[in-house]
Amino acid sequence: MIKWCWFLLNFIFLFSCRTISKPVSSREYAVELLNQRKYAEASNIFKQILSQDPDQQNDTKILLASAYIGEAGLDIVAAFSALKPFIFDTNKNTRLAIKNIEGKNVNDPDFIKNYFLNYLEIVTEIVRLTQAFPNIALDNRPKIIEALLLVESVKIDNPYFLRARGLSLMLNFSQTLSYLREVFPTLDHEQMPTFANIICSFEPLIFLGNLEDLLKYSRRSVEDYLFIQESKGKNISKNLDSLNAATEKFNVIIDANRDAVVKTDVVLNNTKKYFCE
Amino acid sequence: MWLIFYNQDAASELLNHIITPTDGTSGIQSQGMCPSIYETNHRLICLMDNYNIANDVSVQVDINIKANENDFVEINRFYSKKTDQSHLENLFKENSFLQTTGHITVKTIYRKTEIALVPAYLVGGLKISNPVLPTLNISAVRGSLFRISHYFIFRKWLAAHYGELVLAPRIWYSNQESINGDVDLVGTAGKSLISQLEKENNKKIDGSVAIGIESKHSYYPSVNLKIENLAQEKKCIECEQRFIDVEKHFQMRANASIYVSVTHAIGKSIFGTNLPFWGPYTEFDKDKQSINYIYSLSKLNSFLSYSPLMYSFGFTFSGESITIGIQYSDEKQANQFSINRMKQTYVSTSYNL
Repeated sequence: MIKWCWFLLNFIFLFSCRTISKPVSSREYAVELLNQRKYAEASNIFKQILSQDPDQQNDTKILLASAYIGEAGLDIVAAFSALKPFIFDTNKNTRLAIKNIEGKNVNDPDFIKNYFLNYLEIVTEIVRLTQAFPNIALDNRPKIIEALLLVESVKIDNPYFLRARGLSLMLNFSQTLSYLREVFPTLDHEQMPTFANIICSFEPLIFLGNLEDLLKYSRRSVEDYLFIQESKGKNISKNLDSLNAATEKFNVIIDANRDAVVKTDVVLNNTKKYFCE
Repeated sequence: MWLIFYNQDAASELLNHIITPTDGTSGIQSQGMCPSIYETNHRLICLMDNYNIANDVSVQVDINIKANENDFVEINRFYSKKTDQSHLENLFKENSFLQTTGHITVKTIYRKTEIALVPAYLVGGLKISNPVLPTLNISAVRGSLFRISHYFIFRKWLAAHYGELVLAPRIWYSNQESINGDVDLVGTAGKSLISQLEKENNKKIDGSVAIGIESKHSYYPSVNLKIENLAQEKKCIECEQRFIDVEKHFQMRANASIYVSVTHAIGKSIFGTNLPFWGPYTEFDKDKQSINYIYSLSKLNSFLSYSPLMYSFGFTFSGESITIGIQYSDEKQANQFSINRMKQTYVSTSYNL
């Protein structure tokens, strides 16, 4: 009798065991899809999770941003490898100098021309140093912007904030480079460019059209970088700072010449023609 | 169908199916129900801890490992500082979840007293997730341990007609080094990966106590109760915030096992269940409750074990001076580590010198 009771007890226990294994949650399933690089499927599930509780799930925001980045085809690992010597390794930073251009009159075409040449020297160095940074196709920019909005919404008092800020730096910098590279439509990105390649492929109208976005993303890159490195007690990235400062200064010059008789784009075009022809 | 929503940020998950430094071959094969098996003329007895009883002085070397050599090498790299970001990227391409566990024990036994040295034990898990922003979560513990155990058997007590009352205290000194980390590619920028991991050294004296009633009769249940890591009552708050945790295994935990021993015309068997708890029987761990069947014929023991997270089959063969054990399992970790079940092999050897 005792033995039958004992066996019965254990069979009941066996069946109770079967029912208590944890089901896979939607979040776990979406992470698995993300790991399998099925970005579109993963992002759909992450979006549903966030729609339930948009304020709480900061790590889910980073995962959804990752899915968007994956969909946009930006290889963050390759981007990070390319970016690291450019901005993170402060010992190897080479300061790209903004020259003290003669003549302080920002409306003077000669001043604009000289500053433009100095700017392109800096840009040449930037393009050379970031040649390995992957390019984002124009069609994929909206996904990157969606990813940026998500990482920017991660709360500052959250343990995931630093991770979000790091991702934000990568995205803002990739946008900066994307808008910058667009200015040189005929440049062969497979070859290491020279100053002559840069100036001859420069398109003034695209540059002036992109300047606002270029500035926006380079400013944000600098802010992100400073936040991350301050939290780690490191120095400023001289290369990143140079690009931003030079673009800021160019913007001031262009602003000051909006109503000028000699338009900036004409000066830039003439300078380009002078050097290339 | 999948949408069972989480309302909080990622929480800690315990690495399951590990070998702690106090686990022996039978304990691993029976998912903790039968830490070691003692055979009398009439029946099999589950000893409450990984003990041996010897009439003469004997020296024994035990090796118990989960046989996934690659995972062992990879997790050990984090101790030997031979890893970096590019290594992580390569790891991610191959496997996103690695685990390792095992120990070596040298012990000398005289009658019911055992002195043991565990020169090395390692328990670790590593998960790399998100190919877009590779994020490493690692938790590993390794150390060494010196232990003294004794087994008291009371044959004259109130219920002596039913069985023997057994009391088994043990005390140990351990030197343990743990590494934990939750780092991503961007978080490690400008710093070495190893420097981002938290490391901690912990030297402590700890112990366990077990009490049991070993029935003298076939089909009458025997009951064992054990509390381990008695000095570690304090809750580890950091452990609960980690993605992977292994240190909880070294916090206070308890066990209750009930089994019946049966003698057949050919061979003997044990059928029983093990109920594990965290703390001093305060929090029942339903994922690890198991039922087990052990069949012994001469020098061969075979094991069948079932728990919600692990099904396993294994056997041990005892020769003159060597015992070999192999266990095949189909096991499940937390869903955060791996949604799919995994096939694993555990290998044990024991040499009598």
